[in-house]
Amino acid sequence: MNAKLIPLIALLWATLGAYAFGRQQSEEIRIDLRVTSAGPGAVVSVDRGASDGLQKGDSVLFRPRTGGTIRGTVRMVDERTSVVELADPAFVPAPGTRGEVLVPRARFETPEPPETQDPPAESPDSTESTGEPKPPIGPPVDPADGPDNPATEHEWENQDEEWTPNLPLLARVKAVRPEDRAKLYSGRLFLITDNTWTTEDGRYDSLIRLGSDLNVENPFGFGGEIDFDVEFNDFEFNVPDLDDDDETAFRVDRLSYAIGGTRFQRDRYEGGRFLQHAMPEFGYLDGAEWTHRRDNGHRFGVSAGYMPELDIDFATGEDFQIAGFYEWIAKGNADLSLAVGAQKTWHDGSPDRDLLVTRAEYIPSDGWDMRGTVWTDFYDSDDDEKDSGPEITQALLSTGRDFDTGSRVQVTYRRLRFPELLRQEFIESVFENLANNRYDRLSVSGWKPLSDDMRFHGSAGLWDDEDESGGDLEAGVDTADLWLEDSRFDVTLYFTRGAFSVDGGLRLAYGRALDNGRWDLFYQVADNHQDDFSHESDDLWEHALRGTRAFYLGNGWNVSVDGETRYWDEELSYSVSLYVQKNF
Amino acid sequence: MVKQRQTWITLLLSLLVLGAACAITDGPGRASRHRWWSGLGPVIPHDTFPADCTLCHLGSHWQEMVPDFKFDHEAETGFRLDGAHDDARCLRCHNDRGPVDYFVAQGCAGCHEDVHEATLGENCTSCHQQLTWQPVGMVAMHSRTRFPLHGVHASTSCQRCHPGAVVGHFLPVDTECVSCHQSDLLQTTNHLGLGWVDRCDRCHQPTKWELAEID
Repeated sequence: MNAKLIPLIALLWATLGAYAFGRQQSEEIRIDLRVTSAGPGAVVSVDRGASDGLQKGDSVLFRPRTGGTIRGTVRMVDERTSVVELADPAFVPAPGTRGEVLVPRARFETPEPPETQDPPAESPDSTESTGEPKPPIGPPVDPADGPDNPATEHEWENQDEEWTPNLPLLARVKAVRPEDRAKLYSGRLFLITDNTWTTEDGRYDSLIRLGSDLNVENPFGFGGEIDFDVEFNDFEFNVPDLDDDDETAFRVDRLSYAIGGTRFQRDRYEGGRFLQHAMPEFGYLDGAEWTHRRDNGHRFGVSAGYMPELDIDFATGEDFQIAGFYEWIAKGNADLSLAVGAQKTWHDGSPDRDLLVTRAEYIPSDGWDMRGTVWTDFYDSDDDEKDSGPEITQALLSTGRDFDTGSRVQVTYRRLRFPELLRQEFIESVFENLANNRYDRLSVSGWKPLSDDMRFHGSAGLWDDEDESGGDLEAGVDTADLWLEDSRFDVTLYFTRGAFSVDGGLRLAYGRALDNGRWDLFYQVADNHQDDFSHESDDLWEHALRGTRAFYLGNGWNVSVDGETRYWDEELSYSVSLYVQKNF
Repeated sequence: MVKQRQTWITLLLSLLVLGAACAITDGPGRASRHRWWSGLGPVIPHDTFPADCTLCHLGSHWQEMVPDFKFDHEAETGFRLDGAHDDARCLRCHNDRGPVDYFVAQGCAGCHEDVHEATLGENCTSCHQQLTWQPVGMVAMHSRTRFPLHGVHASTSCQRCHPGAVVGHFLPVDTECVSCHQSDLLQTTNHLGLGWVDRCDRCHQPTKWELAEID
């Protein structure tokens, strides 16, 4: 043979070999498996068997979490399990260790069904009793679409099957509905106390909050939920030379029954005292709300009832509202959603607020998120301070980007104006400035990892109101495991141009996570320069020192104790806070 | 006095009710998390789980998990559970509402009601810690506004200026001193007569309200 032909033949064989290998690859599918137990003699049991296409002699590749790969060979095959002999006798994989085996696709091929076979008749109950369409039966699932395939990783492919009384006990039956579930209680009890004393002639500020949130699932056998949140507040405020101010209130924050809105039931009903479910912008309600989810995921709904006043008493009965909304969702996974809602209120029977809320949310999968909500009030000739027509009362727009490097940047714009309302929603004196008050703020914030343990974080903001403008700047570095394991140390410098002052300061924070909780220390020193103050002492140095110890006691108990002292202008304040929470 | 007595009676009755509710609930916190209540269906997708059910479930008590049950949520799903989430019952998130991915993509608001009525943005952890949900660092947060808290303002309860704070309502508040100190102004003997009704900061420091510096 001509020696010159040898390389050509070798190249031809290599090409053919590569082609054959590639063809083999395409004709094999990967079966993911896990180790269920490890026995003596370098053999392990795995959770895949003949029904998954495995046969004796198949090669298995294990991928332990500690890294690397270990090979093995299938020695025994049962219907749902197999025994694999490991190539490395020293390797003892932990139960749960992942692995994979390549099996020929031909093992899964099934004969074509006869052409004369009729399609299965659609069950008369192929739609849920609630009107939910039954998902179509999809094509056979390729086992290669396993956990490593993000496109199908979380898809729930099992279809609900109809249940009849004569089905055997272990047959696959329909999914359990909310109304089939056991009654379940959960919630929390909490106690919050916060006491502050200052050296200024017995000035004293005290706060006690005692409350509970209770949730009962399926309380009446219809699959709904009861929420019952109550809170007791006691505030005491002693100011030298002025009237003391004490308030005590017992408040029901929530008492409602909600049913529906699940994957089985498109309609959702809620009645009682609750925060409006679909449009929280419309606030709390003593009334009822109905929402409906359409085939394409769009939602709409209406609500009616009285609006409690947003203060310690949560008094109700003066402000009645009706509202409606429509939410449009671009895709099934809600990458983009747009919602528009309108609310009309009456205060003691007089027409009060005409509010339009528009909300947009775009969350593509590449790290971006964009959200925006705009509150627009409509005024007419009955409104004294505002011109007739629409006015943007509030706007909150933000967009953020998460990067693969662990960095994040976020830009936020906020606008705030005071609406003209008969309803008591803010401090009375604000009415004097109703027509002109305005506040706009644009800010950017973010962080960037500097190393595995260190991160830079910062923010900058600009604000502008009807009188002045200013801004703020923060920059800091936090680092993990400095001095102590599981600790975090943060140093931040900040500067603020406020409405009445120019501030600059330094913050130091150090905290450590423990098995039973964590502790944190915080120190801040700042120079606050008062604008336009008519005396020399317009620079106020302040120091603040705080220590916190949090305990996670198990069985749902959390306790946190916080002590803080502040020093300014020859005055001292001491604060002690206690937080006790019991989850059940 | 009568009102105070009624309040305390109401409080005691509430505590009794809550105590009873607590007593009839079966197994708090960590224990509940590991119990698979009878009748619960597989709303948590098991497709990628090992086929050997006994790795997680007790064979003799199918509704319960094995005593040493551990599920590394971050390693298995790529989603880390922080704070109280790490101790929450699986069904709090994986439930009949639908695929959990849908709700996770919406951030905190996908699962938690926004008691601030969407006025404070979607980033809850900028104010709240995830274990007890207590807000932290509010004085520092205030330095990113046009009204940084100085002196006694930094040692004053939030609801003194934000009357709706206990129900999560913080907006709107004006920054003019008289917005909060109007009653103080009315108690003065000379201010109103002299026309001193605004710009308190020209004479008063935010440290000792009763002392003014007058040239």
